[in-house]
Amino acid sequence: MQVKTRHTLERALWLIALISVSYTLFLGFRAEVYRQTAQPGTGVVAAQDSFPELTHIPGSSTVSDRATSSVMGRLDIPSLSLSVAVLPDFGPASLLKGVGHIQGTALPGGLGTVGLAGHRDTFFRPLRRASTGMEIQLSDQISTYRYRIDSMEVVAPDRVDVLEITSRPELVLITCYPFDFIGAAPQRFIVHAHLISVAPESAEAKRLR
Amino acid sequence: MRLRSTPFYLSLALLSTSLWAAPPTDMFTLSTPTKVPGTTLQPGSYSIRILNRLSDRDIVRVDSTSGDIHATFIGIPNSRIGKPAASNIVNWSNGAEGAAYLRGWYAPKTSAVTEFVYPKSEAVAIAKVNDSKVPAIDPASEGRKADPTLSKEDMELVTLWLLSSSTVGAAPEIKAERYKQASGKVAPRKPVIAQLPHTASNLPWLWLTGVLSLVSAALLRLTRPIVTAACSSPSQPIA
Repeated sequence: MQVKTRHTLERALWLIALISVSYTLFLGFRAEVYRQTAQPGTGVVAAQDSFPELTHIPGSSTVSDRATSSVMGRLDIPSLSLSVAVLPDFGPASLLKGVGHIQGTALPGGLGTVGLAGHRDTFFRPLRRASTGMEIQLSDQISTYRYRIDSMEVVAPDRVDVLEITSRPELVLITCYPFDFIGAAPQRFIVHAHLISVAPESAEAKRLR
Repeated sequence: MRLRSTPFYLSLALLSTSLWAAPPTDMFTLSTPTKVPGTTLQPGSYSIRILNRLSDRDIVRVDSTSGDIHATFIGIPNSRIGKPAASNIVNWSNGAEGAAYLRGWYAPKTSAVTEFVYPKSEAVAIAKVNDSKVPAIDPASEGRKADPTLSKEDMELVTLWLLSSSTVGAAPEIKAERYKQASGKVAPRKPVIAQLPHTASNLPWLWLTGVLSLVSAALLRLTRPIVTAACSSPSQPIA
């Protein structure tokens, strides 16, 4: 191989590596902005449409503005060190910023089954360590609701019955399976949890816990 | 003559049958502002009737005699509530958040109280201060809009729940269970999605590309002096 060709190839490879790392860091930064925006108690009402027009707030960043307008809440599983923003849909763009709410399922703390989907290779990767009895906190912009994990299962993608309303309010977390599969995984990993109390957790109770 | 009068007698018979089967109506008077699902009734006289009886629920209508307040909401039969002595109206024994709430209505010619079904937030408030199961709905969690009341179709389809308080520690926990009629039948619901979401991102490919590029670039960089030296050295003549 010619020296000049080698040099060109080397430069190109450095550039690709730099772009890959920068883009990954950007995604991580943006996800963190969304997670911070989803802090319970901020009192921001979630928008149903992603990225609607916003009134400009001087001094605020664009990413933060967009996050505020489209974040629905936050999901925390302290035992798994998992903390991620909940977006109002599960489109490809939303799943790069957090986990997505499945429209038509219940809202956080709602009477019904809440369905949330997330990438197995990013935000929902810790779910592979999930076990029964673990506590999940699901917050909207005002309140925090607590759920407890009942079971996990691996199902085919057409098993939409996992989202059906059962005898009690539930939370269903969905991600692809196997976790280490590269590409379109053939199955889905499901975590079932039930709502501990319909009444939102007060700030005082949360502080005491 | 006989043939011409037959339709008349037939329609008269149908009319009398429909009048006989007309839903019962009742009157009641309130002396203080009292809440029913979806609205607050001011002191005054009201009529109450069942608009529609479905398999697991009734659609109840309340109208003020002055004609300015109308409320339509869901009720469920509850035979565990005793018939009130003074009136056919049943109140929740403890009001919530400073307001009085109507619990149900003992319709004439029925064997059970029609218990009113409240929106989730109000039902939670009632359940916190009363030691009974509170019927509740949460239309927003099923994508149904209450503006301010549900549409007729949504009232027939919305899932019914029973909320009850169980005091654990300082704060009471409000448990929820799905309401089932005595027969245990639950209306089937259309799935919200056709397939479970596909949740694989391109991030692993991105990482793989990045790492491979990095390693390859580093290898090229490390081997560069050797190649450069080899290229710059004079070629040896073949002996």
